[in-house]
Amino acid sequence: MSPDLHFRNAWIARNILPHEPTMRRFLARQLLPPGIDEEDVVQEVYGRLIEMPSLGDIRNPRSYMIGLARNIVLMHLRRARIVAIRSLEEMAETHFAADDPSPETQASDRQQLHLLAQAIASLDEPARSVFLLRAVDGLPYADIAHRLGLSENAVQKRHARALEQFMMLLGRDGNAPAHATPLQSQTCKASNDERA
Amino acid sequence: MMNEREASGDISRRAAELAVSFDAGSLSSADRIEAEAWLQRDIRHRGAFARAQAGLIHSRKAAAVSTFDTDRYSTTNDLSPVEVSVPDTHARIAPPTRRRFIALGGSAAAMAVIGIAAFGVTTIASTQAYATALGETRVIQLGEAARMTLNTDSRVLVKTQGRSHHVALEHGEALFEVVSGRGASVLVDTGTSVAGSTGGSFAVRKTQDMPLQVLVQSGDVSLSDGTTQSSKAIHLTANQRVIADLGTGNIVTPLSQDKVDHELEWRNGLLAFEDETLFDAAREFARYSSVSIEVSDPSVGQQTITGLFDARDPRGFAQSAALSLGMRVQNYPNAVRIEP
Repeated sequence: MSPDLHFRNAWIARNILPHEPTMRRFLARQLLPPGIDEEDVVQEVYGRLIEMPSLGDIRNPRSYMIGLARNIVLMHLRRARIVAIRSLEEMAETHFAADDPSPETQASDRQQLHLLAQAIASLDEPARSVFLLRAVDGLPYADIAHRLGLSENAVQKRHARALEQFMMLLGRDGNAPAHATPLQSQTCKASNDERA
Repeated sequence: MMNEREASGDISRRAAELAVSFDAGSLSSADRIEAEAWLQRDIRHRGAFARAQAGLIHSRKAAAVSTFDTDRYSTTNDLSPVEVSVPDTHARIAPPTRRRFIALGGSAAAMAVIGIAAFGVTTIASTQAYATALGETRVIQLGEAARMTLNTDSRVLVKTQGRSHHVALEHGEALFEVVSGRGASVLVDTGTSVAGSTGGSFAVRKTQDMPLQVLVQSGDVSLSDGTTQSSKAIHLTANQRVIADLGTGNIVTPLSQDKVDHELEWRNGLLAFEDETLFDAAREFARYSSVSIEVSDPSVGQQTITGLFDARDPRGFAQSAALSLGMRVQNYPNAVRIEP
């Protein structure tokens, strides 16, 4: 991986991930056009973020993320030609509810570790074992495969699932999403074939 | 292309798989090209991928939870870290270099055309200076078989000839990782000493507040006196630290695996302290931030603290320290003071 990319990813881990729950709480209060869910917007926010030439210039990552999210929702609303004037007006006037942490307060290092530990503890087995052996002990996949009696491929797949679940919990402060598992298309298999 | 809009859950799934494959270094060139194309298709793909990669980096902080004894962390509030059971850790194996070097192969030109630097390699001129600001960490690839990670407030001059990299460390701290068996070598010249390796991972620290320090994480490192050009060199291996003291000469100390890991937590933007005095901790934090940590009197400064902290958050550290020592903090524009 290019060194700049690694630094960028580490910067995101430190300055953006902790604010994802706040951004999701903001999105939960917005009207989204049909076909666009919260996850779509979140992914697009990250996508926009990494297009910036210099992340280090962002003074207040939390506000910046919310701002990006708001703009993306507005853009989609316009595109969908939803003439819900009210929702656009409401968007413009959005201010943070009293229960949101103030901009100056970021979860302390210990609080973040606590959240992280909780997210990991919520993982099912054997996903959690794979996740920890990799994250804490840094074992090569071959070693993990040997220990758990699985193929390396299977271990990587489990790690990917565990990572997905971990991200989901982190992004929502440890709460599973209100509705069922994130939207997964029925035509998943078809799309995989197409991609080849 | 699909007609209907791809579901976000599918994207998250693919992004996680890609992040894991990338981290494992298990992508074939065909895989890489396909991944590149997938990333290019949709901004959400790129976003989800960056997010998943950040998630992987963040997951490594779990090492902090299982490394520290939670009893030492007792506070009056209920934020004590949750003990996470880590299976099978009876023997703590020295982790190999966590991030794999990915040799690019022939698709470099194709990627330049696509324009997304997801797999780019930074080409460096034969002599190049690198520097980091206060609180900044920077990773610089040195050819295909070596890498340098610069810590805060550091400056180096790198001269590369083929696979040999000569690094003049002007000030600061850096970790050097050299993949063995590739014919690569890294020589680090601090002015008074030269540390080199053709296969290993070692950190060199040259800062004003302490004597020169070389820490070996793995592999083999040779250390020689740079001034007298004598041929006498010390051979160092994993988990050894050398402190070059002008008075007593080089002192080689064996360290525990945990201690070595703590010393390198700065790569994750963290500082690990174990029974460190507030004085020393404050001095360490001063390397990363212009917000200084002060103590009201020497007796406070001698109090010790243990834990893992965000290197760029001195105020957070002061708060945590005060909390666990039953003290309080006073915040000032450019300082934070701990007092009884």
